[in-house]
Amino acid sequence: MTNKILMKLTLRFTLILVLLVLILAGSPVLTGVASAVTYNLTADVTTKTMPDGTIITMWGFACTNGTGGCPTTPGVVTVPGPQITVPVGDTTLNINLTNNLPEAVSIVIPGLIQTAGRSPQPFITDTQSRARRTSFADVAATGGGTQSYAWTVKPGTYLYQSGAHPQVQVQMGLYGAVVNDSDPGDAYGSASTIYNSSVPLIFSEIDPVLHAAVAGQGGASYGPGGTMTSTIDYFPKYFLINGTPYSAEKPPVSLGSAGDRVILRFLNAGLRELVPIINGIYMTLVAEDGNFYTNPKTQYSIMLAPGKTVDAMITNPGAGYYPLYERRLGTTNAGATGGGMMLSLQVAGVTQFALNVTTSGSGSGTVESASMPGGINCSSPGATGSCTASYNTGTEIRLVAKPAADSGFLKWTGACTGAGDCVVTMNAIQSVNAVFRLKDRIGIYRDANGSGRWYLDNGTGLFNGCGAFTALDACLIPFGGLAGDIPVVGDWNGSGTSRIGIYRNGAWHLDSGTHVFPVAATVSAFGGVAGDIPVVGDWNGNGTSKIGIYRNGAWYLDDGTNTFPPIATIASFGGEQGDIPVTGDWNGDGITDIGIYRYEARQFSAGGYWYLDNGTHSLASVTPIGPFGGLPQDIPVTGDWSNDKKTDIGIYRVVNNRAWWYLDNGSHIFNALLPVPMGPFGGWMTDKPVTGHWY
Amino acid sequence: MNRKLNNIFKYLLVSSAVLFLVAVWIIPARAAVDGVMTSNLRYTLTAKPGYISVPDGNSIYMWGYAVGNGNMQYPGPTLIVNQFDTITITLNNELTVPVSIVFPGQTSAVALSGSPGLLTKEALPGGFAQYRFTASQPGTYIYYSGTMPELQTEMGLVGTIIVRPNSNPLTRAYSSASSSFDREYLYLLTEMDPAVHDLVNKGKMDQVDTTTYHPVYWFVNGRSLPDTLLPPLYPTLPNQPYSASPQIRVGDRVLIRMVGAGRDLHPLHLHGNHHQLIARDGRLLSTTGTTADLAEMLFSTSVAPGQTFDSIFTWTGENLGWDLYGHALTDPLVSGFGAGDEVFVQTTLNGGITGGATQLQINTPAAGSWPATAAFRAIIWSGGGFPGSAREVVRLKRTSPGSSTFNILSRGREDTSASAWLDGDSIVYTDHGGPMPVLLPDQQFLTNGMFWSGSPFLGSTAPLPPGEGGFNPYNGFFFMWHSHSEKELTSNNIFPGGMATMAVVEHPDPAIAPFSDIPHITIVAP
Repeated sequence: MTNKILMKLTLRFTLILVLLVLILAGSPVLTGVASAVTYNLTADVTTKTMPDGTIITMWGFACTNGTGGCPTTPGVVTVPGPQITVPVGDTTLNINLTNNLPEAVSIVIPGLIQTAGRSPQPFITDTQSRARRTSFADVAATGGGTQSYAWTVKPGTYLYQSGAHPQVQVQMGLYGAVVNDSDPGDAYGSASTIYNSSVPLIFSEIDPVLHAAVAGQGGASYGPGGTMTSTIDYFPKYFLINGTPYSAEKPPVSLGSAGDRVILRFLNAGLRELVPIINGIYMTLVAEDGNFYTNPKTQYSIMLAPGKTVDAMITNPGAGYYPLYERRLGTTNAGATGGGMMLSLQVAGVTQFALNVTTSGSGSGTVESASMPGGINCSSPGATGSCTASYNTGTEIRLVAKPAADSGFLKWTGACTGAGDCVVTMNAIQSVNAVFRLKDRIGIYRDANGSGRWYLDNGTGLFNGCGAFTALDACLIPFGGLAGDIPVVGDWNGSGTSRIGIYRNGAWHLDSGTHVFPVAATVSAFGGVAGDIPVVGDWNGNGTSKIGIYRNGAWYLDDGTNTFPPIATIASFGGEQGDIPVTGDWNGDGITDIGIYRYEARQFSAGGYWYLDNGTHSLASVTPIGPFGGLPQDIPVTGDWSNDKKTDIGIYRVVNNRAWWYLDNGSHIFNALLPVPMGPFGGWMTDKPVTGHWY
Repeated sequence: MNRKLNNIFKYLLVSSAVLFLVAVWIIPARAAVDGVMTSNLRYTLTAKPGYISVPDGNSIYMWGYAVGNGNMQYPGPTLIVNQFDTITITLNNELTVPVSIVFPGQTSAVALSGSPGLLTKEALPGGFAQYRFTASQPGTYIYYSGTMPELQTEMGLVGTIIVRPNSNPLTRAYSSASSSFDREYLYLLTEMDPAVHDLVNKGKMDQVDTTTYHPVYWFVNGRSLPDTLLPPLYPTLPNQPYSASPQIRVGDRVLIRMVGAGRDLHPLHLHGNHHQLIARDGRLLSTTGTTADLAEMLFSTSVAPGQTFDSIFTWTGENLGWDLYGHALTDPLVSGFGAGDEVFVQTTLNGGITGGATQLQINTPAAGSWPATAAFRAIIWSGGGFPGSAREVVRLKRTSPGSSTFNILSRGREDTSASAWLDGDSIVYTDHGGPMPVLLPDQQFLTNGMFWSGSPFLGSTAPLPPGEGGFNPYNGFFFMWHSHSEKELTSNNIFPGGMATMAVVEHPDPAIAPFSDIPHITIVAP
């Protein structure tokens, strides 16, 4: 009861405000005075970019400097067309149409009585000499033709659309909403239709084949003799609400606050029956086609036929997000799930917090919100796109990182850690950063007469020459070069990018990114016994690479202090003659594991066997992978070739002074056919293979 | 069929332990929807893959919700709960993709745990999610996956929730008397494009384009005709436990709970009589909340995706043009046919009308529900008990729709003592139309179907040639309930099939048609 009084008071106050604004604005439109409103519309071509990047040619309306609610500057062409709001009390709607489209266009409003411009014409004579009508109303001719229309208006929600060649023109985008309220803040002059906010929801579809044919794109054409002769084969691929399909960046639609009364105006401008559903809210259906129901219906769903309008009232439930979607499940964008006719309705909470998303690292990619209510679609570099959104307190947002084709997703920093999906609870302002890195690539360290040369592949698997790194390969010269230098690669500062380094008899020259050798700060006396093999890995999973020494089966793995011997020592894993230590994150947990590559002369299956530690540090408990490799000159290499965050294995094999890289595709098959090697890349006698996610 | 059915029930009772059922609860003498109840307000469902059978012999790869660790089933279990229960559902995921459940119509539904998704929280592969809602309002509701719904509902992740009202839970769908029923049946309607299922089965889910979806199978409760006629929990359909085979008595109020679980609209047509749509989306069609005063009489209901509909169907035989009981106008009632069975609407004559009248004025409210335009049978008697000593049988027809004046089309006596109608005499409107003079050909010229009992009359049987009949031991009246989109009466282009089943009307006297109607309610206590 109190609420109702409050609502009335609020509405009365709003009404006064509206009147004041109208008077101050000098508008001729006054409540209660039966008068006319005029809209000047222009039909023209525009485009819409779909979430998958497809650009669709559309036909739409612009509201050009009209007298009734249109912007004072000529509007842009939109789909749906501008909402035509007929002020309270007005009983006549005039539309002056200008047509810049290649076809004659008209306007009809099903549900309202048209009083001007309503002659159904022109006639055309078809190929069988029959006179056929082409429009439900008078047309505005192509090339800037004009036509005036008028309707007698009664309160309600209506669809305006093209009445000429409608099976094509409506689909092309010539539609919009007409709204006329009975009283300010009251749709139908009933206590049941008093509202605090009005939310139009115009449903429509796009069949891109038809749009391309009408626009004459890609050699397509529409009409007799064209590549598409009719709309009979209608297969919409994009499903729009208010002209936009759902995608991660689509922000929620505000319903106001808890307890507010909202009128949802459903309009179907598509060609199929639709069934919008709201999870968690019952609607009271108060009108259909602009006709007030004497007895409203209570439903969570609406059967919305093409051309139909339905008005539904809701009383906002508690703060939260309520998904509205179409239950015939046009919830895809060109077949991809998580799109289409879907959006979140937001009942605002008292407290809101911002979520800020950024990206970093050597690679590139996108961070998208994958949960209700969406709002984030943030791309590299830095923070491009929808990178900030505010959410009701307590909202859980799931962010997914989608690396670009040449990149992998490394990890989250900020409010999230690890490399899985990031779920943040918005109990405070939250900042999340996604680190993308380029895929692990191959490279060569070459000792060329005392000059250490690094040739780092740009991803092609072929040597493209030295130069700008994306097109050509990176060549870092000189860095190292003494006989006995061993190249090492690691992400020394946790930036997400691999850096080079040289192990020289117990001293470690780790590049800071300047590629200047010798480096300013050398780690010394870590290892140094003859036969020591340097190994690199993120032994504790904190995001930075650390050094280590493999010494005859014992592993001395740095704990971050660069003190030798370190506390973390694995007493024995490998140690046989010819064992080669390999390192990698075999299980994808973010911690680098150890392993041994060993040639075994097994009967019928001799070759290289990979003993990848399963966490027990017991070689006897490991079932080896193999044979994978096995020629005497084979060198094992490791890297995440597939970008699944798990390190894969590979073989560097020199044949006739050319190096071929056999990188496992995850199947561990190694035969005459598989894996198809990359290369040649390297092959000199002194070449040593290196792998990393370069720069 | 019914004797077989009883045998199968016995078999199922014995084998219930195999199906992970804790108990089978039998509600005597009232057909209720098969489903799953919970003894502790909790359900555990598991999303898992499996196969279903379709009548053309195909097996189709599906994803479905299983009860606990039970079989994948299509549709998911019908969860039967009581109003005001707060239900917690744990969803385990044995699929390779995330999965979830949304509960349209349950405004209190919350996701307690799981990975946040677009419509709700999701169970990751190998993981679980948990949901809770309080069933605040009685009615019929739908549930389905809110994860990739365009694919996962197609794959089979759909089901029904029935919330029984707090008062009269076993005899009403809602608290309103307008929703009272004698029997209830579920009609969950889906369609299927097997190409989608083949691709998913082959691991080519990325090639599925749900916008070019082209269904060729149609289902009621996960089965196509003729499998819809098989009993529930039929052994050869281990993943399609629910039947759709209404068995009803003359005059029963039959509640049909319709659920649109697919992506297409299906015009569900219940042959025999119109049905009265009393609720949509779990809300009584009512201005008052107490009676279904906005109910509609429908020939068919357009069952839209995601929506639910509750209808009351009553078979009267009205307008058949002949009398299924085999009556001549003045025949005595069939043996065993009690007075209470024939009285549908009873009222009292309130004008002194002579025996020779050609019209009858009946102003009392009960007459308002009598046929608007059709002729019908009425019985008029005076004095005490029925069938008493004095009564007349007449056929009446309104002079115009809505008029309370009825033309007397024909008039006869079932007894000798009644000759005049007096103020205060009783009058009943019955479903007995008129006689049908049938002269059956000699049996040797007939090929009888398995549902033929040797007689067109309800409850009457006649000797049949060897090998004939047998599916219709009580001589019920079979007719098809089906989608009125005729294309949907096929299974992959084979007619008959698809979204259809046969309803049977049995004689109202249980002594004549002693069919069993035990629902298969399993009670789980996870």
